[in-house]
This record gives sequence, structure tokens and C-alpha cells, in this order.
Amino acid sequence: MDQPSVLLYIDPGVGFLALQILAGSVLGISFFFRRTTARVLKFLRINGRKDSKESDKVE
Amino acid sequence: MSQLWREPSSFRDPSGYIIHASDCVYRSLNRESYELVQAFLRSPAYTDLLDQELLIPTEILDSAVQESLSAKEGLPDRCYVSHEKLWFVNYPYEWTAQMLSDAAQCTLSVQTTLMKHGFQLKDASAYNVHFDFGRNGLTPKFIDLGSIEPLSGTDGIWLPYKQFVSHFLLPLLYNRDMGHDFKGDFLTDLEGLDPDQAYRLLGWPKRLLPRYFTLVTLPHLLRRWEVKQETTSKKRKSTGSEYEIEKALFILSHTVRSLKGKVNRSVAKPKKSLWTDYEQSNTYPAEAESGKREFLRGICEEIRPKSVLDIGCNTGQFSLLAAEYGANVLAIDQDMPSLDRLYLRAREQQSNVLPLRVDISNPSPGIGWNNKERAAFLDRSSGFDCVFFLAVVHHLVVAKGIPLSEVVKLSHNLTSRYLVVELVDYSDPMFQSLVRGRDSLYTELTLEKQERDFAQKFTVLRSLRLPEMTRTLYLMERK
Repeated sequence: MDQPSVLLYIDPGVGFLALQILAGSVLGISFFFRRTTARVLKFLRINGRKDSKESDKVE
Repeated sequence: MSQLWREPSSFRDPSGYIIHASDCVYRSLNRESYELVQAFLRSPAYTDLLDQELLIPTEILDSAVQESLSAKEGLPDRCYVSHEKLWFVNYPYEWTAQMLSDAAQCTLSVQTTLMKHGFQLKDASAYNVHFDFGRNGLTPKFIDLGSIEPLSGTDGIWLPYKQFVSHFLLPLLYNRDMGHDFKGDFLTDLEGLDPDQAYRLLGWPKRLLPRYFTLVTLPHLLRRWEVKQETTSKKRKSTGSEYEIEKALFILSHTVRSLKGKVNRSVAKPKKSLWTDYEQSNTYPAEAESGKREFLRGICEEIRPKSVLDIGCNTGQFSLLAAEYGANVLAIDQDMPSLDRLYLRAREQQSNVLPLRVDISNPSPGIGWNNKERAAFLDRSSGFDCVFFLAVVHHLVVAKGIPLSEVVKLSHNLTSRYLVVELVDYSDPMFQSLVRGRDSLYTELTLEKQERDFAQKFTVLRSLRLPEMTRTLYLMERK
């Protein structure tokens, strides 16, 4: 559902909007790397657990 | 139910407005907004904010009360919620720097808590916060439910950012670095310290300092930037993938955390003034000082006033005393450093003392739309059980040139019953230091003359002549 127009309620200030967009772009990149790193680590941990379970079975 | 009257300051929000009925406060809402408010009040967000004492308690009303209010307003489609009534309405231009800082932190804490539960603030006005008494004494509380909306947008932009900077950050920063008094900013322009004005107040070397560069210089330089259509378009994208929503929350959280850090670094340490050490450096002999304290203690113990107005409270020695006996105390003075000390003491001791920056000879006027949007101090101040007017009368009469009869009239209007006044004889050294060669104007202002003038509107119940001084304390009752 579309949100009502909040921009009309207060003046967000073009300069401050621009600043937030710039900061948001940098933070967005940081978020991407953090999320990707977390996923990779999660994947490696899961695989690590699978490998140790298999080697336990073999023994 | 008694007559309803509409709150003059509540008209900017299209979703609703405040109405009063005797001692109750209601918010009148259209159906769409009522559903949003109901959803919020039933959500864990509301409980979380109440537990932290960040929000004014609000209740959903039963249908009988709803119908009665709707009939009184003559508007069948309105819905209502009720708010707890504030003890004393107060405004940012009456706060000290510490109070403005705490109000800022309250706003950011509300935003943080709301974000956890899928809500956010659509504005960050300093007028949304009022200081009130809670479980642990004085605390800032967010009062504007109309500012709360579901979290929307996937761009991580917090639209009230500029308003927060104007209302809180810039006034605090400029007060700390340049001694700039933000009282004037809020009185002349309800929107605090405008960033463009802030930019003009800085010279070029200061504009490059890190603390000013992102808050003042960069927004000023970017103000003409063509912001992309999708950001300024009327309908912000509200649906997005889980990744986009998480990213937006990550950016918003970082923004709020960054603002919290800036507020912490922006508040000035409590300063000294001519009056901050008055409690220790005054000219009262030890016996007079303890006599005064015991006189006041005896009065508080005997009459147990529920509400006290302490005029010219300085660092609040007697305000805190009255609060010890169960009173809610409004402590006013014009000296910000003294009030800052009182504010910090009151919070530390969890005392019900609300310090406000008010000069009784020039109290906060009615301002804003129709001169009624923010009520005048005197319009908000009546019905105090007891008024303390301790060693202030001679300052008003001599330094401010207010006739004694006018001071008596004001005292009569402010109290509903008791007045505790300390009158100073013309021959007193402090009186003499104020007179400074204008003796002929004030020679008649003996203690007897002052007592006679007050006796026209008050009955003297008891008095105490302070030892070794030409000052007398009186407990009077309104005629």
C-alpha cells in the first residue's frame, strides 16, 4: 500500500536530504559487505560442521 | 461531560488535534489515523516506550465516551484517545542546555525504540517533548502520538533529520562553543536555529571544523543540489525486498546513533555565573541562614502544599526542600547556569522539581499563530497552593523598576492560597547596592511600608525577623 505524502508535513531540507543520500550510499556499501561476509562465514561454519560430522562417521 | 475546548497549539498535524475537557486531555483523530494509533497502542512499541517512561500514557476510550465526545464536537466521524495530563506545560525556550540535551536524547530514544517495532517518527520537533514528573522524578516525555507512523521507505532517509538539527543540535552546539542563547531562536522563530542562519553566524575557518562541516557547511553547499525524483516524489516506495528493508534499517540506525553521539558531545559542561555559588557565598550570617531554612521547613511540614512556585529559585535550595514534603515544584529563575545545577540535582535526587528559565519581570509571552500557539507563562501559571518569593521583591522594585503594588498584585494572582515572602528593608546592604545613589527614589521602602502594601491583598499568618539582618520572612494567606 502506498504511504501518504510525509514530505508535505515538514520541510526535510534539500541539503540534508542530499547529505543523507550520500551517507546512505556509503553505508549501503558497508551493509552489503557486512551481510556478504556474514553469509560466507555462516556457509563456512555450516560446511565445517558437516565435514567434522562426516569424519566422525568414518572413524 | 463539561465543555470541550481545542488546544490552540494543535493544528498543524492533519491527522488530528488535541481537545480539553475540564481536567482531561483527548486527541481527536480521523478514522484512518485512529486505526494507525490503535495499532500502535496495541503494539509492543507502546509498552516498551511506557516502560522506559519516554512516552505520555495514552488510553483507547470505550464507545460510550467516544460517542459523547463526538456529539460534543458535532463531528460524527471523529475518534478519540485520552492522554495523561501534564503537570505544567513547558517549552524549549524555557529549558536549560542540559534539559534541551536530554529532550534530544529522549527523541532519539523514542525513534530507536519505534524502529525496533516497525514504526518511526515523522517529525522531530522540540515541542513534542515536555518535562514532567514520573516514577523517578523529573523526566522528558514525548507527547505527540500524531508524530508516530509505520516505518516506510527503503532509502534509509530520516525526513525529520533537518528539524532535529535545527531544534536540538545547532542550538546546543552554538551555546557550547559561542555562548549563543537559544532562547531567542525559539522565541523569534518556532523552528529553533535555522541551518542557513547558523551558516551565516560562522566564519570560514569554523565552517571547516568537523563538527560544523557536516551539520552546517555541507548541507548549505548541497542545498541547491537536484535531488533525484524518486526521493522527492510524493509516493515513497514502501514495499521492497527483505534486503532493501534491512539495509534501510541499518542506515537509519546508524543515523540515529550518530546523532546521539553528536548530542552527547554538543552539550556544554555546567557553567559558572554570578549566581551559581550564591548558596555558599551569600551575605546571610549562619544563624539567619539556618533560621530561614527552619522557617520554610516548618511551613512545608505544616501546610504540605501540593504545588509550589518558587520565583527566583537560584540553585533551588528551597525548591528541593518543598519537594521533600511532597510538593510538585515549579522553580523559575533567569540564570541558566544556576538552573542547570538545579536540574542536575533534581534528577540525581529524583525530586519533583521542574526548573524553567523564566524572568518574572519579563515572562515568556504567547507566541506563534494568533499569539496562542504557545501559551504565555502567566496564562499557564495559576492555582499554585504556595508561592515562594524569597528576597526577590527588592530586585523587581529597584533593578527592574516595577512598582511594589504591581508585585503584590502579581503575587495575589499566582497563588491560590499561601505566599511565603522575604522582604528586605531599604537599609539592607544588598538593597543599597542595587539603589546606587538613587536613594531618594526608595527611602520610603521600609519593611513596614512593604508589609502594609502586602497586607492589602494578604493576611500575615506568621513572620520571622532574620537575626542580625534587616530582612523578614512572612507566611501570608490570600484574602
